[in-house]
Amino acid sequence: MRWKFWIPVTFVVCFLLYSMVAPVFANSGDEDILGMDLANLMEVQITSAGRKSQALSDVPAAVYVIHRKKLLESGATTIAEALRLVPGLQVARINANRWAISSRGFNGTFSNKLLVQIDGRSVYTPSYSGVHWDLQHVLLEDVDRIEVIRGPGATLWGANAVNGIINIITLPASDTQGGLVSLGTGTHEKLMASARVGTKLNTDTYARFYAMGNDRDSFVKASDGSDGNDGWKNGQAGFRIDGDKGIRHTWTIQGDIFQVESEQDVNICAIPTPPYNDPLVDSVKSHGGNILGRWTLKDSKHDIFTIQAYYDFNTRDEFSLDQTHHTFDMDFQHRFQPAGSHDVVWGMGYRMVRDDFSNTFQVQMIPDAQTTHLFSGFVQDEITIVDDLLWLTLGSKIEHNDYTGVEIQPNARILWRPGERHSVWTSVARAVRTPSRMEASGKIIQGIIPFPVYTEISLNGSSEYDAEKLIALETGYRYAAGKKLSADISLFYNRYTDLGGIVQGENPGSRYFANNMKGNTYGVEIAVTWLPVEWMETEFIYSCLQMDITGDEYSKKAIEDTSPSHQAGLRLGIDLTKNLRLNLWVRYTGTIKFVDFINTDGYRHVIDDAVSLDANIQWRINGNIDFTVAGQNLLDGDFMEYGSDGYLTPIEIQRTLYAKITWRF
Amino acid sequence: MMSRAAISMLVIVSLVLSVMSGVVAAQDSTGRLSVSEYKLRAAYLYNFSKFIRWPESAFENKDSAFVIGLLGEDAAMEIAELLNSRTIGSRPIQVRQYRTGESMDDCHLLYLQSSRKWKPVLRTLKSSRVITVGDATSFADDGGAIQLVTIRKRLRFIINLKATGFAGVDLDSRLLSLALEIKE
Repeated sequence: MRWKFWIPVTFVVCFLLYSMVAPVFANSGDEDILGMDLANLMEVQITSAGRKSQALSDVPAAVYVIHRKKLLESGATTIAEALRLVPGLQVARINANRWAISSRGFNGTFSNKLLVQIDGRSVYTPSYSGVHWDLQHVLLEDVDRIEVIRGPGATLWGANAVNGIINIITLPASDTQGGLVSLGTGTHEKLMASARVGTKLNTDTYARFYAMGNDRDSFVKASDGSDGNDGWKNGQAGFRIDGDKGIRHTWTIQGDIFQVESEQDVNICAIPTPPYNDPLVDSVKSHGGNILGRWTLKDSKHDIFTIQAYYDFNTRDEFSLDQTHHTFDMDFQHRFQPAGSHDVVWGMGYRMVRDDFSNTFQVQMIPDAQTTHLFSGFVQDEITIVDDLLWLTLGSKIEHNDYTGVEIQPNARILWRPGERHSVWTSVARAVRTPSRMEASGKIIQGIIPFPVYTEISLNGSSEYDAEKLIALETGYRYAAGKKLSADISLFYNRYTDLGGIVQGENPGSRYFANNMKGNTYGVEIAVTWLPVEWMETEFIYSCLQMDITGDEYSKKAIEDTSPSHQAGLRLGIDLTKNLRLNLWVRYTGTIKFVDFINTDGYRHVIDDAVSLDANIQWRINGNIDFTVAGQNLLDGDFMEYGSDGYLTPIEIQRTLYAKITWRF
Repeated sequence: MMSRAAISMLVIVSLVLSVMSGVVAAQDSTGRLSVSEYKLRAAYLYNFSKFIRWPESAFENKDSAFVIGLLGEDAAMEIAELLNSRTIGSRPIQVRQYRTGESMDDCHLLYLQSSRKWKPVLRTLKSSRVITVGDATSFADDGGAIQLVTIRKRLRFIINLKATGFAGVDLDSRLLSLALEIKE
């Protein structure tokens, strides 16, 4: 309890300290810059030109970018919530601290075909090939953009970038100079606090340091509306230093440390003695940290060399398993133009993952500690076939992993720009998802049948488990008429083989992970942005997904029915006055169903299609202080967004409100 | 109960940050000032003219204007507006806009926008005391005197002492000390 008191006190103290030290800044207008001397001029930032959106039309893939402005206007308080902005992604909140997020189907608590990176560091957990969304925090004000590539990106990003890649990219420290303090509170977000300071270490070196803390309330149980025991808290701090040496060398060093405590209400926890099932409230304790360095050299012939290395560790302790991962990763890339029409990028990478588990009766990893090595190399050539009209991209990645050996992931892409406003692209690509530690050598006790013979219902990993494979055909069209109107349509047809499912073993009750599924999916994703007048911005997104999977009945239904066939969203941003902005965001999600474990004709949960509304008002009190009032899920007080994947108690998400003040100095 | 450690860490970090930030803010408010790139270029040109001394022979008489020549597009107008009312020492600044092909020998400082054909200008410039300023990526390598470089959205510059223009003027060493790179 005491710390809840201390955080606001800290911020008040900070405010007072600051106001004593800081001078009152004169409002430097344009005219003043002629009076400044050269040393000071070298610090003045050029208003950005917004090249990024233009570059997007050159990418022959289904790319969607959440720029900083859109991110901050969305009212989202976590990365996971912000991803609802992206067409074709399914973001479903399981409870207060867990999300099921996937691209183009296959969603689940342990959804495993999506690669997520923060500033080039993979946050994908090798034990189950998924992402612990409750551990992924960044200071949203320091995010430059979130790039989402739907579809396979394995040629550049490697195995597991099967159905999508999410790249969260923060601003360089040179763009986050000065201070920022943000403080908020609300019905679910009991406390949101963050502080950042950016400073210049010397002429060519910039740094920022930040700290953030959140305390979030629990939601309610779907069964009786009582406390869902799913509140969570996190504290995180980090830094980023960016520097240059001349015009050729650029380097970055950054790191973070975090601690997260998230509650979970466990419905089914198998135990070997009567009563055999022991529901419990558990506290998941996690902590971790990372450090990353990157160095880029641009030589005089426009060759670009990049070397990046990082070390990441994290520990997550819960009732069923204590797990620790140490990851060391090193990458080298070289981009060059051997002839006028070729733009080649090639690279090599090495990743070592050391894991360590404390096994329990419920979950075991065998052996309980192991080190795996991943070696990879890739080459990609973008060939200009006809200047300013037609480009062909060819490339492949080859990698060797300890589970399935050598995997080859090639792609071919064509981009055609018949006019300045139009671009059409099409691609064919192969991608694989390599087995997780759980699928290769884990064991989960899912339940106990005590009579007539004591039987453990278990799900087991298998050394036979192979990589899941995908061949994807995609095509897309983009239209951009300046900033006023842009449209982006993508179509895809995915053919999967050796998909993961579950087969019955010889012993009663023992089941195994197996590659017994296959199938195909297809769909369309649309995003249209329109600025009818200067003070209003609108965006419409829609996605449709059809899945046709064959294999065991349970896995088929568990895959097909948990992804909505249709999703849509409409955002409106209205500048009510010069300093007051209203953001409205309506979303539609189609029906999803959760098949019963035993009787596969029945469903545990059916979640009907639903419309939800988020809204916020942002008031720029002056140039440096912003005040936001936001509401999420305003239409429905309590609703389930996703069924539990088994052991967790089903939780209803609630309407939430918060207010936040952000002060820049 | 988490996090007593984490929260106390947070408290400490915030306190340190706040004191630091105050210090930072007190030192430097320019880091957060952002202006259009052409206004910033105008300020650079104005500053360059203060660090470079042209001989009296470069002017017709004591009161003749200091001439800043421009070869560029609309953006150049923005520069002209800012500089036209200013003076360098006792001399008024006169901004002269050139067209491609015109002789540009009658100015002191000449800004060549990278979108224009600047290479022929460097070749045909006869005067040995025109200091050329440009933002093309190979400007200094191709004989230009001062190349503007954008790094991290901030403007820096490279000085090419081999440029013909430097033969006829005196250069303040402070300008050299601020250069990102000096080509000799």
